[in-house]
Amino acid sequence: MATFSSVEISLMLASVANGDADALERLYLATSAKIYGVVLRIVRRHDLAADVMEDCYLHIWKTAGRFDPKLISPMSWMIAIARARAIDLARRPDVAASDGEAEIADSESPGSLSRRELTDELKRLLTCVGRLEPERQRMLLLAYYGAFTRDQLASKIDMPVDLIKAALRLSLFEIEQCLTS
Amino acid sequence: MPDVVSNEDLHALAGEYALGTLDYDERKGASALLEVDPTFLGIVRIWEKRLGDLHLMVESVEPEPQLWERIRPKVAAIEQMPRGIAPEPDKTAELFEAAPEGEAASTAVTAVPANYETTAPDTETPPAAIAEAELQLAELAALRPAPAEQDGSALPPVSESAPAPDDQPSPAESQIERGFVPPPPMLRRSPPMPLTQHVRKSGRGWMAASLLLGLVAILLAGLIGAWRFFPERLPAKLRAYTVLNIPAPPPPAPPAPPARPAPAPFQE
Repeated sequence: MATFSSVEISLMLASVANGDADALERLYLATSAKIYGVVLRIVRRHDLAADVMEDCYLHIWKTAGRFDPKLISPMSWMIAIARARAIDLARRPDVAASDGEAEIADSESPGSLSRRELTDELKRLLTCVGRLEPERQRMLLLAYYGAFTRDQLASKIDMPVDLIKAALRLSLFEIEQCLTS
Repeated sequence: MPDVVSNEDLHALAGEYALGTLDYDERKGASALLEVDPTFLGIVRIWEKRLGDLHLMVESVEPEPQLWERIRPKVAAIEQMPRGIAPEPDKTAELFEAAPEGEAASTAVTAVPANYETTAPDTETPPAAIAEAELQLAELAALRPAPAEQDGSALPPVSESAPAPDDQPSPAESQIERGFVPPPPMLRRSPPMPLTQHVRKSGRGWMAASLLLGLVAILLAGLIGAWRFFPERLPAKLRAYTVLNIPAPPPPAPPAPPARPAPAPFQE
């Protein structure tokens, strides 16, 4: 499957903002697999993931005109939209209660990464994440990819919830310091 | 949630919101805060951008083929937001409340300090703005080296002229002979977009300034050459004594009569 560059995705978004529905389809073809992968790891059910995808691309259609490539990369912009919707759905009490029906097993390890995809920003981020104390590093990545609540993390890692909260906040603080130094 | 939230708490809350670790009640509170507090919205956006690069490491999963067919018919019914209006937080309340999807009116948020959606009011017509953005993006695309799987190079050649044959003077030499000083070449590389636009904008100004200075230098050189080689041809206003405000040279004296030896003061 061809990988599209940030510039190409931004161009598609610009066309979408122009009202070009074919451009939305091209954007969908170019990005849906990645976004579906992100969403599925959070909601862990295909039917829920499909709902999120629909909501997500319709929102992208609606708001493409507000995307500014100077401020954020297009994929990060789209994935922030997708994550917000996926997490909101996962937190809904009726959905959260049905967590036992999960079709996807949560995994801590992220997928493999080709060298081309290792952007400077990602390198910097991974460096900063890599400087975290190993337990907290693992906790942060688990939290991010699975979008688990602190309670869920506490049961997975077997640590009190208060400690989880303090550890997460410390990790976020250290990452911010590292990235902005 | 407490009524008064410290700045540290706000940053931590924003970070955990982006991370996804808030529980249902906290997330509901944070979502509400997003809609009324532009500072909080800005901090959340920063965290979403920071952590967003981690998505590169998530495995892609193809959704079922029918999913697009489900989405496509609904696109036409949705009115697109115009460009450049004040940004609003994503209205995800409908997912929270499990209500049917609907385009709930979002409250507009006034200027946000740090946000990754454009805040500038749209002063130019949308097509022009899009065309310019597309042009800039296309230029940036042309500058990037071609990825391995694409055919042909997208990079335009840096040197435009072939090496000159020996019997003709090289382009640079003939240019200097004619008195033309070429401006320094602009570096071709693939910088991040804001830098490119900045270089391009200030590059035009600097190029014009250097061309102007070059022109002044040529004129001065020409004038000095004229003073040296053919001063008589210059009109009076351009001659050296006028321009430099030095005393005029005395007119050439008429040839002196053959000098008679002065009478010797002492004649013997």
